[in-house]
Formats: sequence, structure tokens, C-alpha cells
Amino acid sequence: MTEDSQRGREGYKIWRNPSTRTEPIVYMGEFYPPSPELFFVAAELVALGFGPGVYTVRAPGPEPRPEPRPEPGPNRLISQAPKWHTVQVFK
Amino acid sequence: MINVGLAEEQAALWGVPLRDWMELNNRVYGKEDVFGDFDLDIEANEKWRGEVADVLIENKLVPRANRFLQCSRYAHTYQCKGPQKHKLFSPIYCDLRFCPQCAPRQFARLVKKYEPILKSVESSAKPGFRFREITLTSRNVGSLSPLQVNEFNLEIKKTLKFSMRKVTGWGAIWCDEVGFDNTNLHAHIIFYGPYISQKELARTWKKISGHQVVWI
Repeated sequence: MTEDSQRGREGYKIWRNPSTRTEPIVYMGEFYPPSPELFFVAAELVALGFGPGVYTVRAPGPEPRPEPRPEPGPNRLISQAPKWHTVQVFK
Repeated sequence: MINVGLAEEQAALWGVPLRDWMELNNRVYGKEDVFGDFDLDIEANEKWRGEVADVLIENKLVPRANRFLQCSRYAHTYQCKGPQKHKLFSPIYCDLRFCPQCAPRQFARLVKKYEPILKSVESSAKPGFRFREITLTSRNVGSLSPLQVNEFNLEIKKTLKFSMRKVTGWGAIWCDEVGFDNTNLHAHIIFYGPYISQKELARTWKKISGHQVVWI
């Protein structure tokens, strides 16, 4: 991806999940998928040099919940919203 | 317990708002112990919360299920406008009375609301009058609807009014409950008034509601 195509776009932020509660979350940085419509998947993380592990990815975009008590919307939609997802990279 | 200063530092370092910091921590570690007094049995707690939410959704109470699931997951941060710029961190609660985190707060609100009334009544007590705890129970028919609850409350009102038909200065407040794992609808009543015999009250309760169980 060229710098021009990245300009004005917020990237995906990626953190490496610790294996235990006592270890810290490690911020891996901001990355850009090949297309704004695509989410990062394990293969792309491998291509970027990510080793085996579990990663949490935050997609760019608006905040999911600006109001304290939003009207309907089944709660499942919130947990499945593409704003956050977990990607596991195997060996 | 969240160290707000450190959380803000880390969020700034990662270039995310504090809300996202909290979301990330929730996702990775499970629910945050915001005030340090939360039983961190996260998995069991979350599982139970999910089961309750499913029941709410099945009964078309989706917004309530939403609130219940997201209790304390998000927060507002406030900053005083004064010279000291105090920072306050305020979780967004569901405020549902069956939520283990919110019920004690609701209880405190109720105590604050009714305590002055109880104190005022106590300080000018009528001779022979006192607070009495009464429980009126309905027959468990295996199901429960809002209509049944409304009728039940109306029957309680009628029963107390009938029992106190020539008395002035009495009063009562009550709370409906169901059994732990059944539909046994009953009401716990704080009654202020003269002595009523259990037998007499049970007779009136049966006549008005058709139910039999009365405890004083």
C-alpha cells in the first residue's frame, strides 16, 4: 500500500494478547489492510511478520456506542461488531 | 482495580481513547474490577449474565438485555473545571435491580427514600400501632404474567383495606417476589397499624384472592 493511499485513513491497531492475566498486553502498532473493506485475517498477519499467538485487532471507524443507554439493537450485534476482533496465528 | 492515571497514559501511548483501552482490557482479561471490590469470578459471572440476557431477549426485552450485558463495561470520564482539574471516572451501570453490581445501590436508594417516612411514623407512633412484617402468598400455578401480578397487587390492597376498614392512620408498602427457581408469587409487606390476627388476615386473604398462605 502506498503512502498516498493510506493518507487520511486510520489504520488497524493490533495488540498481542498475553497468555496469562499477569502479563501485559503488547501494542504491535498500526497497520493498513490491502483494502479498506477487508479485515485483517491470520494469513495477512503472517505476511506482516506476526508470529504464532492471539492478537486483538481494532478496526478504524466510529465509536460503537456513543449513548449510555442505546435503543434496541440486539446485544449480539455489539459483540460481533467488526470494530474489534480476535485473530489467532498458528505455526 | 483500574489505575486511571496509568490507563490514560497507556491509552495515549497507543493512540486510543480511554473507552477503547477499557474495551481492549475487557476483551483480553475479562471484565475490569473498576472499584477493586468485585468478585473476579469472571467466567461464571459472564455466563450467568448471558443466560439472564437470553431470557430477557426471549421475552422481548432487548434494550434491557443490552443494558444488563454491558453493565460497567463502559464509562464516562469527567474533569472538574476548577483550578485543580480533578478527574473522575464513572462507569455506566445498568441500574437493574437484579444485577449483582447494581442491586446494593438500588437498595441504598430505597433506604434513603423510605427512611425519613419510617422515622417520622416512629416518632409520632399511635398507641397500639407498630411496624409489622406480613407475607401474603399466591398459589404457584407454574406460570406468571403481568396481568397476574397486577391482580395480585390489587388483591393485597383490597385485603389490607378490608382488614383496616374502620382504622385510620395505618399504611403499608410492599415488594413482590417470586421463588428462587419457581413462579411462586408472594409479597413482603411492611405494615404499620394495630394488631391483626393471622387467622383473621388469612380468612380475608382467602376470601378476596382465593389464596391461603399468610405469614405475620
